[in-house]
Amino acid sequence: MKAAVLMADVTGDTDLELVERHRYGDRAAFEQIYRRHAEMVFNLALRMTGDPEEAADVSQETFLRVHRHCGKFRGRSSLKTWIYRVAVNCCRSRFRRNQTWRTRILSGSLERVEQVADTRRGPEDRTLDRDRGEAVMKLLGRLPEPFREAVVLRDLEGLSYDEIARVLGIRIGTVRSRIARGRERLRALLESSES
Amino acid sequence: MSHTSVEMLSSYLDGELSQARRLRVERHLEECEDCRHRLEGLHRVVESLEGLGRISPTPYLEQQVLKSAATRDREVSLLDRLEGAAERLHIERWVWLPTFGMVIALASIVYLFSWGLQRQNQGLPVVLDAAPQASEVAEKSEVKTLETGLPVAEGGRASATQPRREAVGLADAAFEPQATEIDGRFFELHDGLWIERGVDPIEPSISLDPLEAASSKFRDELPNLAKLERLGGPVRLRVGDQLVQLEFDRR
Repeated sequence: MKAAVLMADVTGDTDLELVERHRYGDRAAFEQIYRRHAEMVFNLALRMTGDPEEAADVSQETFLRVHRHCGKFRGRSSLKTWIYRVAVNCCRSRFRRNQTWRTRILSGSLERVEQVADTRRGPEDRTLDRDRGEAVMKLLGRLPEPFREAVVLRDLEGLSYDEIARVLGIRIGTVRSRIARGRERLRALLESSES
Repeated sequence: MSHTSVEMLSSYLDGELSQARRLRVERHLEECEDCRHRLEGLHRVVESLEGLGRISPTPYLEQQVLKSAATRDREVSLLDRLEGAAERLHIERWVWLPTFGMVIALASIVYLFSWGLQRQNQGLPVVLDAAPQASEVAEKSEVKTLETGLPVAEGGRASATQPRREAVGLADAAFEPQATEIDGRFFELHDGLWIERGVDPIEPSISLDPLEAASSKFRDELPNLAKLERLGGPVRLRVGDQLVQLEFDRR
């Protein structure tokens, strides 16, 4: 088994230990798994859907699938990567099922997302950042799904190219290409909206 | 002058280029304003996205997820439990699932076979359906007449002097009465009257219309009335400490 990325919480349990305990029916183990990864999943879903309610639904569906299929996790990748993969698949299923959401995404109307201010910058810069950030969020919805996934995982979730490749089940070359083309399209859309 | 591809610029931004390629890109950027402009544009996009910050899910979401998980724990099916046990023992699905299926099929065959044998031994028809009418039984089977000399019970069809006829069951060549089982209770046909096994044919009983029985205080102690009606003819059975004869043919 390749080395997995292990994270110990205050109780000292690694991800693998939590998975093993969950396999044997330990409910507290699943609660810990949830608490470690909830924010990550929610933010991914939020950036993919642009809607907090949809994001909550996707998050719930993700963790129910994690609960059900955790037994299949073998530690070949990190638990975080595996859960991201489940979350991405839930977003994709949701997107295909929910026509209204699809329309909203494609029309770029992602007004419901609130942003957290970056307090390291001055108020004017923060306003500018916020405005641009909101604009970028709206434009993100106009990206084709493969580009949006790659850009969200890289620039919002901070995953490496290798991790993104594992999550999406594609080659690193493809990851590189999708990130680049996604960013380039956002750049072009942003420049045309600002001009 | 050829420009640097957007892939190269993007990878350069992420520090994902080898040293040789990185140097090549930097040399080109020194000379090409267009590529510098594009790189700045990409950089602004990345900065804007990275500046969005994180949002925490609500405690309500946690509540919902943990509640759904707990519900699922209670509803885990036998198949899921087997799958979980197989995973712990590292047995592949393609091994345990067909094996499990074969075990179930074999157990079903054994159960049905032993059930059929049991019914045959009891003199009951192996195929359970609505019991044939008394006249059908008479046509299909040999009829043996026995002189019992017993008076006919209240509500019965035969007269006091008419000997009872014992019909031969379809499933048994011996002189056993036609019998059937309804809701775990056994009834035998005696001269057009279905009598619950163990009930004395001459013991006095209350004669009831089935509709009256269905709305009576002891309706819950009765077997399925529709099935009793399909027997054809009156049915005498015990209800609590009372003997009741249901007159299905009065209507």
